[in-house]
Amino acid sequence: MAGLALTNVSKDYGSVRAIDEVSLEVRDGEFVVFVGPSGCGKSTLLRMIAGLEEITSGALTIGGQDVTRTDPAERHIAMVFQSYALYPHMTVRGNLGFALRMARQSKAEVAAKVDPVAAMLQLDALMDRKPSQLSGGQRQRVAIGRALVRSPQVFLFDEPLSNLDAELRVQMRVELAQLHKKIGITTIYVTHDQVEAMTLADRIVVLRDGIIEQVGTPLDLYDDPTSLFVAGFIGSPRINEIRATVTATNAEQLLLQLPGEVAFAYPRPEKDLKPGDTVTLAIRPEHLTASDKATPNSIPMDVEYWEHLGGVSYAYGALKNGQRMILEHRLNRSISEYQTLHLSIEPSRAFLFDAAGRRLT
Amino acid sequence: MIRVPAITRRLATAFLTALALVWMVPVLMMLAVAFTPPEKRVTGFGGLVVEEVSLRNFGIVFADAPILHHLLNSLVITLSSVFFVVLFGAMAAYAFARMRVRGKNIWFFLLITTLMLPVPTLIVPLFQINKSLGILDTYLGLILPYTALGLPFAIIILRGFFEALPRELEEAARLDGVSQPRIFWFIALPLSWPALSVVVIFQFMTSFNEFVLALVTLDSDSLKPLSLVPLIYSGQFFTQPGAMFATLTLITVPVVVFYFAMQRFMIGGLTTGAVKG
Ligand SMILES: Nc1ncnc2c1ncn2[C@@H]1O[C@H](COP(=O)(O)OP(=O)(O)OP(=O)(O)O)[C@@H](O)[C@H]1O
Ligand SMILES: [Mg+2]
Repeated sequence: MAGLALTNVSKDYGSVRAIDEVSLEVRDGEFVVFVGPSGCGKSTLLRMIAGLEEITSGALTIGGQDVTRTDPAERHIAMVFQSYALYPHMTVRGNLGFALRMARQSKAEVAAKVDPVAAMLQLDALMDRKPSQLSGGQRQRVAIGRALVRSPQVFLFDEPLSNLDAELRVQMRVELAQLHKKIGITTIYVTHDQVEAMTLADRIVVLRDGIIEQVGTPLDLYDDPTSLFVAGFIGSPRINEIRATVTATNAEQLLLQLPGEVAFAYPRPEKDLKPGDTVTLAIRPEHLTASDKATPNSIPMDVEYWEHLGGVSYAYGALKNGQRMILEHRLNRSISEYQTLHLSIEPSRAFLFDAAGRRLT
Repeated sequence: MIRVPAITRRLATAFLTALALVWMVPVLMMLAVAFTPPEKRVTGFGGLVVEEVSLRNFGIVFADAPILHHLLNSLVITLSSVFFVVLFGAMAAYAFARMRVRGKNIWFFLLITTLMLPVPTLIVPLFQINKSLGILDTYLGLILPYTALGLPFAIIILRGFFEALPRELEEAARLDGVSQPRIFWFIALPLSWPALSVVVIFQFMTSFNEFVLALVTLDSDSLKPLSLVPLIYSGQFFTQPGAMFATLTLITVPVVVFYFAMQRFMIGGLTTGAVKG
C-alpha cells in the first residue's frame, strides 16, 4: 500500500491538451473520487496513473518512488475497467489467477491467493464458469477480485458501476465501501455519478476541461463550493441558480435585484462590485422556504409540476425570467395546490458567484 | 435482419437451386463414370445415369497408383504451409494491429498489392528462386512459396480481427504484468480463433488444390501431391476413363471432408470478422 502524488502533470494528444498541470496528493489508504462531466479528462488522468497513457510532462510518484516513466507492470497498480475486461476465454478461476500464473507462481501459491479472495467476494460457486455465463454484478466482482489477488499498492476504478442496473449499483456501491474499509487500499475511483462520489469518497476531485476545479471532502464541496460549476455538480437535485443584478452597495451590504423585481440584501463580499454588475445567487432546493403568500424579499415561482415521494416533495417551475427552479418541500402538502409560490431565501444559506462563476463569499 | 417478401425469397431459392443443379452436373458425371463398372464403356445419358454400381474402378486405382502416398505428400506440403502461414501471419498481423512499426502503412500497402498479382505471372520467377535456393524438386520448393503467397491474405484478415479485439483486455493484461509476446500468445491468439479458422481453411484449400507451381517444381513422382495425380496417370489410365474418374473422385474427398468439418467455423469466422469491423 502506498500514497501517490501528481505534480504538474499534463497530457497532450497532438495539439489538444487533455490534462493541464494537475497536482494532487493522495494519502495512503485514502479513497479519492474523480468526478466531472463527460470529456473532462477523468479516464485520461486515471490511465496516466496506471501507465496506460504516457505522461507528457510533470511527475508521478507512488509510495515515494518516481514512476513517471515506469512500465505499468512495475507500478503495482490494479485497475477495474468500465467494461470489466475479463478474459472471455478463461473461467473465473483462470481470470482471478492469470496474473499470478504469468508471474510463474506454483499452482499451490496461486490457489492460496485466489481462494480467499473468491470467498470474500462470494465467487466460490462460480469458479468454473466463463464470464459470458455470469450476471453483470458477478462479472463486476470477478473484475474486482482479479485486481485484489495481486495485492496492489493502488486500486483504480473507471466507472465500474455504470453498466449495472440501478438496484445492483446501490448494492455494489455498498459492497465497495465495505471492501475498502476492510482492506484499506489506496483507491482512485472515476465516476460521473455524484451520488457515488458523495457516498464513497474520503475526498472528491472535481475535474473540468483537464484542470482540477476543486478538491475536498464531500461535505466541503457541498457546503463550500468555490465555483458555480462545483456547486452545480455536487448535490441532487441540482442547486438553483438565480441571475441577479447589483443595484447598490454600502459598507455592509449589497443590494441585488432578483427576477420579479424583487429587492434582496446580501452581505457585502470582499470583491468590489459596482451597481449594474451581474452575479449569480445559488441556493440548494432544500434551503428554500415556500409560501402561498408573498412575504418581503420573496421571489415568485410559477409551479409546473410536483413530484411527491412521500416524505419529501419536489416542485419544478420557473422564475419570472424563465430560469428553472426546484424546491424541496416537507410537511404541509397543501401548498401544492397553488400555481404561484413565493420563495424566501435565507442569505446565509445562499452562495454568491461573479459573472465568471467564481465564488464571492 | 432485412425482411424480404416471401415471394422474392421463394424465387431466389428456386433460382439458386437451379444454379446449384447445373453446377453439380460435372460432379455427378464424374461420380457416375467412376462408379460404372470398367468393362461397360458407355453410360446412359451422357454419363449421368448409372445402371450398375461398382467399386472396381477404385480397386484398379489403388492397385496401380500409390494414391495414399500422394495424399501423404499433399498433407505434408499443405499442413506445413498452413502452420507457417498461421504462425507468421498472426505475428505480423498483431504487430500491424497493435505495435509501433516504422513505415507500417507502406508495408501494409505493399502486402495488399501482392494480392493483385495473378499467380501465373509468378510461376517463372518462383521457379528461378527455387532453383537458386536449390530447393527444386523438394517439399520446401512448394511449402515456402505457398506460405509466401498465403501470408498477405492471412495478415489482412487477422489484422482486422486483432484491431477489433477490445483494447482493454490487453491493457488489463499489461497491468497484470504480462509481457507483449505473452499477451499475444495467451490473450489475442486464443480469442481470434474465428479469424484463424478462416485463414486455416483458405490456406488449406488453396495449397491442397494448387497445380501449376507443383507441376513445374516437382519432377520426382514420389514427391508429387494429389493434385498432380491425374496428370501422372493420364497415360496409364487413358483407356480406362472409369479409373481416371475414380482418381478424380478420390482427390476431392479430402477437401470435401475438410470443408465440412470446418464449415461451422468458416461461416462463424467470416461473419464475426464482418460484424466487428
Ligand atoms: N487518444 C486520444 N486522442 C485524442 N484525444 C483524446 C484521446 N483520448 C481522449 N482524448 C480527449 O481527451 C479528453 C478527455 O477524455 P477522457 O476520456 O479522459 O474523458 P472522461 O472524463 O473520461 O469522459 P467520460 O466521462 O465520457 O468517460 C476528451 O476531450 C477526449 O476527446
Ligand atoms: Mg471516461
